[in-house]
Amino acid sequence: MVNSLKVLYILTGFLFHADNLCVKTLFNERILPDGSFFCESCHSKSKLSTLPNRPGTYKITCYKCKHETLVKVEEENSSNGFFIEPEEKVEEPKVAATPKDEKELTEEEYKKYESIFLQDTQIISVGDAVSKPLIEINKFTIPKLKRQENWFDKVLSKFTLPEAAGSNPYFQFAKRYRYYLATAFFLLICLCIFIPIKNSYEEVKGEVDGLLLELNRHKPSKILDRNGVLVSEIFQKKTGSLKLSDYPPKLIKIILSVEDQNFYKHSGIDYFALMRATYKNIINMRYIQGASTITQQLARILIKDRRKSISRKFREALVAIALESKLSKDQILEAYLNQVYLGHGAFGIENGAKYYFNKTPDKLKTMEMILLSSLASAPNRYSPFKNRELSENRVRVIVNTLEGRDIISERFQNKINRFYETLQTPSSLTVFGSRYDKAPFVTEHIREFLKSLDPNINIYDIGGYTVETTLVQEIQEILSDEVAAHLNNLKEKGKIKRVKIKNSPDNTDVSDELQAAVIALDPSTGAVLFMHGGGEQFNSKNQFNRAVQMRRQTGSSIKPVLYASAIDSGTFNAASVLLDAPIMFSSPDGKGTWTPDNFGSAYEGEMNLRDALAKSKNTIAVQIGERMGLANLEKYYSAFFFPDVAEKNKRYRNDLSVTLGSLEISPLEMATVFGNFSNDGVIKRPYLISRVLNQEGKEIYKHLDKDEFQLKIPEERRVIASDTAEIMVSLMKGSANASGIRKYGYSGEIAGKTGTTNDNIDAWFVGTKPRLSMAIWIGFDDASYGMGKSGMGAELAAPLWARIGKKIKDLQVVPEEKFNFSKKATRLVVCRESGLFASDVCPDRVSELFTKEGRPSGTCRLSHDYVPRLR
Amino acid sequence: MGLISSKLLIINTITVTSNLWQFAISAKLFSFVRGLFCLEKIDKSKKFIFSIFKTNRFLPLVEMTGVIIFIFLINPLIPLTAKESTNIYNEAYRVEKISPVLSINLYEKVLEKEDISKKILKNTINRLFFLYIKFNRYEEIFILNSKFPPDKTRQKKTDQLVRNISLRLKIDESAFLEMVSICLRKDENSRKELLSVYNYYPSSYLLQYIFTIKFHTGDLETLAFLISEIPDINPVLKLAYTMRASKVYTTATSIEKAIKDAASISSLTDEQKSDILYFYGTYLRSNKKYRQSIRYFHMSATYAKKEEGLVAGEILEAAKTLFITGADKEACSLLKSKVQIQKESDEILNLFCKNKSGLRSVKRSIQNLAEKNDDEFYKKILKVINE
Repeated sequence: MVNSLKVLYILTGFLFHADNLCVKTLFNERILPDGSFFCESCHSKSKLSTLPNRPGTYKITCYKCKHETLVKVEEENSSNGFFIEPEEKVEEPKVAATPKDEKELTEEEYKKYESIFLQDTQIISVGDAVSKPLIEINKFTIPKLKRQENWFDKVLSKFTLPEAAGSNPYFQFAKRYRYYLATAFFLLICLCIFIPIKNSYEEVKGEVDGLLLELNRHKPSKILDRNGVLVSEIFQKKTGSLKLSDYPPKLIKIILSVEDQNFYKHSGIDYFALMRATYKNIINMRYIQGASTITQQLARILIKDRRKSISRKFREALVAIALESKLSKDQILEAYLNQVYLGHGAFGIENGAKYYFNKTPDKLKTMEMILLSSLASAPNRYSPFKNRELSENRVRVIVNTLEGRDIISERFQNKINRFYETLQTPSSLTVFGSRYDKAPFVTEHIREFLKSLDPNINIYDIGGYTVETTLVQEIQEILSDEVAAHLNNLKEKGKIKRVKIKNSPDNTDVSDELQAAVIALDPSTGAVLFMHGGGEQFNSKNQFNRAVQMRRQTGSSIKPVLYASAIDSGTFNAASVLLDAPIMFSSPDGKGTWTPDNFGSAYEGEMNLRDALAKSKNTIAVQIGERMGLANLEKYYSAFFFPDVAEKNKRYRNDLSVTLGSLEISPLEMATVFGNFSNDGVIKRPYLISRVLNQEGKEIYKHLDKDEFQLKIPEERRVIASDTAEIMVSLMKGSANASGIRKYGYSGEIAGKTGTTNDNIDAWFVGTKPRLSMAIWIGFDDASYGMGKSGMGAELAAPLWARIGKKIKDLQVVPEEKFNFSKKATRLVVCRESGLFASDVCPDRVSELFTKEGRPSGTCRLSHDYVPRLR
Repeated sequence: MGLISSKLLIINTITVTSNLWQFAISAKLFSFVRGLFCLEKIDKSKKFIFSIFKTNRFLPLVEMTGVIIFIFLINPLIPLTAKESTNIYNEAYRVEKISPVLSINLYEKVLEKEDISKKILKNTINRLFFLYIKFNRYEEIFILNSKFPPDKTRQKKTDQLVRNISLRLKIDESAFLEMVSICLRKDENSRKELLSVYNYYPSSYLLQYIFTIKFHTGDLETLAFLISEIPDINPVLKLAYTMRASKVYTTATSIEKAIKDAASISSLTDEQKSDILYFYGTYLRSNKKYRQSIRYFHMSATYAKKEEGLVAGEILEAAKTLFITGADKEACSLLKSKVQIQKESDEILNLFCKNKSGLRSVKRSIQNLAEKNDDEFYKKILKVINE
C-alpha cells in the first residue's frame, strides 16, 4: 500500500511538473558531439539518456565494462571541450539564467527530488565545482519548482498544471484529461480503502458460521428421559435455550426500547444512533451514551473481545453486518435474549429470570422485566444485589423512557421503592453451581457415544444437542443416592471388609472405595431404563462406568445360562437328578487336579436341577457342563454372550470353569442376557439413546442405526425356545426366593440368581421380570481384594435389587405384568428322587415343567423302600 | 470363581513343567548315553573323549532323536505311572456318568488302595455314600460311616436316613442307631445286646437289617447265634444265612435241605415263597443247573409283587441264566419292559441287550466285579466283551 502510494506520488509529481523542465548541459572531451559517451577503457560508445544541466563533476559509468569516469561540466566559457548544441539552442544568458532558476529551488527541495529519483540514478555527482548542491541525473529530468510562499501554495502547486508543459505528448494528454485523471485517482483511492474493508468483511462473514456455533456451545445439551422429562443438562456456562415465541412480547418490547429502539430498521449498525451518541458524548465531554445495536452486542458476545480498541470495534461492526446477512432479525433477537449476560453468572433472560426472581420469563412481572432489561448494559454495576442505588436510578430512567414511549401504561415510579424492598437475595451468589446432572454416568456414556459418531461432537464443548433416551427419570434421579445409602448401610453393619487375597498382585491405579454397578433394561425392547456405574460420587477420578465398561467374573449368576443351555439342548430337564458330591478332575498325567467345591463344602447327594439351581450347587453345574460337552457348551454360551466370532475367540475360554462363571461379563451383558428369560427366549440389543437432535432440531442419530454399547450383537436374536424360557423362569423364581430377596421387602415377580466369586471378590444379583431385567454388582475395583466373609451376592447385591425393585413397584414406573410365553411348557408329575414319571410307589411326587422334547424318558423304577433286600 | 481359572492354570503349568522336567531328564539321560557311546569310542580309538565330542558330528543328532522318541513315545505312557488310586477314581467317575451302579465297585476299590490322597479319599467316600443311598444300600452306608467317620454333610444325610428307616421299621431312632452300632461289632457281648434289642423291638425288618449288616461284615457266628436264640425266625432269613454259610461251612446238600425245610412251612407269605424259590434258583445256577434254575426263577416271579411295566427281578435272574447258557436273544427278549436296576449284574445285562459294544466302556468295572465275585455271569460277559 505504501509503495503503491509512493509510485502514485511520483507519477503525479511528474504530471504536474513536466512542463517546468529546463535543460542546461556542459560537456568535456569524453562526451561526443552527438551526445554519446566514449569510454576510454573499452572504447565503446554509448548514448547518454540525459545530459547534465548544471556545472559540476559527474561520474559516468560505462554500461559495458562498468568503468567509471569523472566528467566535469563547467560554465560555457571555461570549458575546453566541445559544446553540443541542443535542438533548441540554449544561449549563454539562458545558461546564466539557469542558476537563477535553480536558486529558486531550496536545498530541501533538491534533497526531496534526490530521494525521489535516487533509485534510477545512472550518473552520480561526486563533487561540486561551483559549491552548489549536487543532484543526480535520472531518466526523468529534475523538475524545477518555483519557490513557494507557504504550505498552502505548495499544496496548491501540486494540483495546478504548469503553464508550459513543453512539447511532451504525455504532458499534453495529462493536461487535457486532468479532471478525468483526478476522478480516476479518487476512485482508485476509494477502491484502495474499499478492497481491504471488503476483504475483512468476507473474512469475518466466513467466520460467522463458526461464531454462531459458539451460541450453541453455551446452550445446554439436554438429556431427556423416555417421557421427555429432563434428566441432565450439560453446559460450560449456562445460557438460555428458549425460542423467541417463549418470551413475553412485553419483555421484548422493553428490552428493544432500552437496548436498540431501531432494531428492526437498521442493518446491524445504527448510524444515526452512533452520531447521536457521539454528539452527546462530545457535548458532555464524557461517555454517557452508547450506540451498540443488539446485533453488535451479540457480535461482541460472539467474538469475546472486550478490549477497547478501534480494531475491535471495527471487527465487531463487521461481525454485526455479517450476522444481519446470515440471520433474520428474530433469530438475532432470540440469540441475544438467550445469550446476554445479566450478572451473577446468569446468561440469557431465562437464567436471569431464574436467578433474580426464580421464575420463568413468561411469569415475569413488568417491574421484573424492567430490572432485567436494565442489567444488559452493565450487569455488575447495575446489579440490585451489589449496587442497589445505581440499579434503582437506572430502573427509574428506564421507567421514564418507557412511559414516554407509551410502552408501559401504569405509573411505576412509585412502585420502584417497594419493588426493591421486596426483592429477595438468592441463596447463591452465582448460578454456576446449579449444573443439573442426575445421571453423570449416563451423561458420560452419551458423550462417549456421540464422540464415536463424530469426533467433532463433544457435548461438553458444543451444546445444543437434545438426547432422547429410554431412561426412567423417576428412578434414575434417585439411583445414585439409593446406591450410596445401601453401600453406607453395608459398611455401617460391618458386612464389608476389605480383605487382601493371598498372592494376588496389587493394582495401585484404582480406587480403594467399595463400588457398585446397577443397570436395568426392558427386555422386550432392549431399552435401558436406568444405570449407575460406581459407588463413589461421579468425579474426574471416578468416571469409569462399571455397569457398562467393567467386565468381571460372574460366579454362580451365570448358572441360569448354563441350565437354560442344558434344558434347551435336551441334555437335561428340570427334574433330572444329578449327584451333588465332591468332584475332582485330574490333568492327563494325574499330577494336577481341579476340585470345584460347593459353597461351604456342603453336599446333599442326588438332587434335581430345580433344587440344584436354588441351592447353587457348583458340583452339579460342572457335571451339567461336562455332560453337555464343551462343544455344546460353547455353542450356547456363544449364542448368549458372543454371537460375534471374533469376540468369542477373544473372550471365551473353552473349559468347564465357564459353568461356574469364570467368564468376565459386564453387568450390562448380564442384564441383557437375563432379559431373554422374561422375553420368550429372545434377546434384544440394549440401547439407551433413542434419538439425538442437533442444534437445529435435525435428527442425527436413531437407536436402530448402531450397536450403541458395542456389544457386537445383532439387534434381536432368539437364544432358547420359548418353553425353555418358561421353565427357566420357574427355576429362577426358586433361586431368587432362595437368595432372600423377599426379606428385604420386595414382593413382586422375580426370576433371578445370585453370584459370588472366589474369596468374595464380586457379589452379583441379576433378576428379571416382565419389562425389567436388572443386574447389580458390588465389589472393589482391585480384584485382589475380597469383601470378607459376608461379601456374598445374597448379602450385598440382592438387598440392593430388592431396594430398587421396591421403588420401581411403589412408583409404578414399570408395568406389573405376568410372565408370558408363546410356546407353553408342559406340566407333569414326576418322582423327585428319579426325575422320571412317578410310579404308584413313589413317595415324593412333584409337578414339574417340561419342554416337548425334554419329557422324562420313563417311569420311576426306584424301590423307595428303606427295608434292605436279602437277595 | 476367580481361582478356578488359576487352578486350571496351575494344572496346565504343572503339566508343562512336568513335560519340561521330562524333557530335561531325557536330555540328560541321552547325554549320558552319548557319554557312554563316546567312552566306547575312546576304548576303541584310544582318543581323548573331548576330541570325539568335537569331531563326531552325528552324536548330537542321535541325542536329539532319543529325546524326541522319549517325548512322543514314552511320555504319553507316563500317566500310567500315576497313582493307581487316582486312576481308578478317574475311571470310577467316568463309569459313573455312564452307569452309576457300576461305578460303586470301582469307588470301593479306590478305598482299598493305600496310596490314596486325602482329596481322592474325601471325594470317593462322599460319592460312594450318595451312590449307596441311590441304590438303597443302607447297610453299606453304616459300614462306610464306621470306617470313615462322617463329615457334617454325611452326618446330616445319615441322620435323615436313620429317621426314615426308623419310621419305616416303627422303632425309636436311638434304638436303631444302637442296633447299628452293635451290629458293627464282632465281640461276643454284641450278640446278646443284639438279641436284647430285638426282644425289645421284635420286628422282622429290624432283624433283616441285622442280617444284611452282618452278611457284609461277615459275622456269620452272630447270625447263627440269633437263629438259635430266636425260635420263630423268618425262614427266608434262615435260608439266606444258610446260603451264605454254605460257602464257608456247609455242603450243598444242607442248602437243599434248608430250602425244603423252609418250603415245608405252611404259613409262608407269597413274598417268602418268592424269596425261597429265588434262592433255590440261584443255588441251581451256581451248580450249573441252568434249565432248572430258570424254571425256579419264573416260579419265584409268580409269587412276587408285580409292578406294571417293570421286569420283575426274578425274570431278570432267569434272563441272566439264559445269557450264561449262550441264549443271548432269549435272554434279551425277557427284557422288553423296563428294568429296575438293583444290582450291577442287572445293569450289565440291560446294557448288553441295549448296546453290546457299549459294555466296553464299563469293562474295567466288570473286570473288577468278576474278580470279586466268582460268578459265571461276569465271566461270560467279559468273554463277550473280549470277543
